Amino acid sequence: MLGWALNRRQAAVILAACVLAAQALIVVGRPASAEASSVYGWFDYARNGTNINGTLTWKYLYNDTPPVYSVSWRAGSGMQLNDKKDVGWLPSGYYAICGHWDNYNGTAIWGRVWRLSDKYNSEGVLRTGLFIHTEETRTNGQDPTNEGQYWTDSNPCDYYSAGCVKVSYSNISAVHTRWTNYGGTTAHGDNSPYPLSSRLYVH
Amino acid sequence: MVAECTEQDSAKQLLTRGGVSRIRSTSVKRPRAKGVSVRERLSGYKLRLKPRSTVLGLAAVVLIAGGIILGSYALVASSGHEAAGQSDGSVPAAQAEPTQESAVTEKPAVVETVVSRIKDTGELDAGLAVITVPLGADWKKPGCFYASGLKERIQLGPAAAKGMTQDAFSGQAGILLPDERHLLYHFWEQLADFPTEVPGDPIVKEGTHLSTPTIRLHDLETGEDSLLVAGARSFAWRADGMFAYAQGVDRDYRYNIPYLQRVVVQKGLNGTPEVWTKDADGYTVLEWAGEHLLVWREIMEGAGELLVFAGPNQARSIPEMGERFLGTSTDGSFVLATSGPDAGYPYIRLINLETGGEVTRLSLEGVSDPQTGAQVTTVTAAALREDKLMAAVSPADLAVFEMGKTNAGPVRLVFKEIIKYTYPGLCSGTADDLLWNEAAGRLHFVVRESSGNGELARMAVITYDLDSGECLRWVAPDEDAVVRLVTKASRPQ
Repeated sequence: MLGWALNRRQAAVILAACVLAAQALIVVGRPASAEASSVYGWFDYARNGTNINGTLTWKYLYNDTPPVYSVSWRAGSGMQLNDKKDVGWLPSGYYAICGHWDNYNGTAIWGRVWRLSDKYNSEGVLRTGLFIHTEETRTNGQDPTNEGQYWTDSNPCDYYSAGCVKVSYSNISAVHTRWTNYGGTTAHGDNSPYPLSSRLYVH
Repeated sequence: MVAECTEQDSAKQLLTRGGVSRIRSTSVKRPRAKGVSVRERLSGYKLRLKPRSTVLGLAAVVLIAGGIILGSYALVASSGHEAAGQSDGSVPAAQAEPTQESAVTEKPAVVETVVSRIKDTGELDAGLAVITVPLGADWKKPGCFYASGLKERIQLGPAAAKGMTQDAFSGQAGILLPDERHLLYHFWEQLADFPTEVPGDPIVKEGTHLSTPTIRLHDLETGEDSLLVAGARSFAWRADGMFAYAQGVDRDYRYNIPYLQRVVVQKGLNGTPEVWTKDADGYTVLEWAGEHLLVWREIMEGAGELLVFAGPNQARSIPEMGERFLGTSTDGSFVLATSGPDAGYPYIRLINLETGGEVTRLSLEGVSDPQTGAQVTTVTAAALREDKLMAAVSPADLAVFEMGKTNAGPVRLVFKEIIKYTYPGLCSGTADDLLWNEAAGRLHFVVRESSGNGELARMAVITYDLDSGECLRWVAPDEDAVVRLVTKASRPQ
């Protein structure tokens, strides 16, 4: 029994043991650290039987081991409750993410976008030019003079889309953060590591 | 009862003067996180140090706590927005933002029709022809051709080739040439299985050659089926024999690579092809309107513009961007367009093809499904003859307008009737592909049907007589198929 009589040597041993134990605990208790563990994430879009009240979820896990963490946002897709080209929602199934840009300078969409792989719909028609996006300017701002670059919840309800997945302007930053820091990638453009297979599941 | 509307009026102003829209909002809290706190992690490690070791003990505690706090920082910091679920990821969906509904509070002052008496028929209406495509992009068996008066369906496509008898980019189904003997149609020949992107399935590289679009000709008398153009899609045939199509820069569609084309025009089946567009782009040839060729240019993100060609490299666009093409008038003088998702309430716009000027525009604000009262949100197709415009709308199915005219031409659209079709399995608001039967005064269109799980089960052809109200339904016998209406040569007739 040690009692009260700890000399410096014994105290040093206890201290070292404590530090080692603490380090062990640190490794177990820091799942959010990408340095100590690998994190893998993917999008999930639930259409919820509606064009304007679907749910886009970022799901991720560490070291390929449960639990699966997730964070969700309201999202919309299409203008009709079918997967018809131009007006219907995104066809069900898996998609690759083919590219990601922060300052996409398109004709109909701008700013932070993720381009999706092509997919056949239930009618045998190819759906192409698909994105996850919001309504914002190329520099990630809001331009009230251009409806396509200005988010509104009503008249028009900007959750409607020509078939892409749309999240609100207030949520696009959070989506981007998850993609960048929680198991997506920090890469931009459409070169390697893109395309990233199976990174969106639509149901 | 008929309500009239000038270009200054919207349908809602006519229908609901003085009406008040009702807005209801609800909010739902985000699910609370199950993140593990620092206190919980420390609870199993009580240090028992005597007073003489207090300094050392405290130092150790500080080190441990500091390490744990640092290590757990990200988890704790984000716990306010996250939920840890099971391995299948079954986390309750967050509904963080309020939903919004609006309803018209007054009854519309137009005719509301719900058609529930629909007779099945085994015969297509006189003069009608369709091409079917097996459901679910099944490449193993190409589709068939059906026509009124035809004893047996005709199998399309080259023998033993895997493919699909439609344009995968949604060009028109087929054109019966003026001789009533030859059918122009699409065949996409399969080169490789289309990637599923399902985890564990083979990963297919971008740019992989997946299919070859072709335009083929079927002789309905001899049964001969021949290739006309390989690496081409979408076509228009004018009654005088001018043949237009979009020729791919690449012969094949390659995975995730935009399929760029040039518009080509030739006289008859064997004429010399003449390129009408200098640049390659996402063109779809729509139809001839007199001397003009109408072409849709699709832009990467789903938007597009309507181009009117008067000859090689002589194109002008019909503004406005963001609109979608609906159709042309019978005489080819007018174009119909509708708004995209960014316009709020949808509208129909009548445009003079010659000048590009707007003749009239009618907002569909206040036009609602006669059964559910839900506001019409989209217009997907339209057919315009001399005095009447039929539009496929969703929800509901058809909106009927009359064309108000003066000696100078059409000046306004008169909203007359909203029609809803209903029978078990019919997916509401999916009417599409409108086609007038001029001789019989009947309207043909396709609808989508579901087997109950919400997924597409088949398409049906509806024939509707506007005068008598008689409604007939035709489905392809012995196959669950997508159905596309075959058209005839464009003007001049």
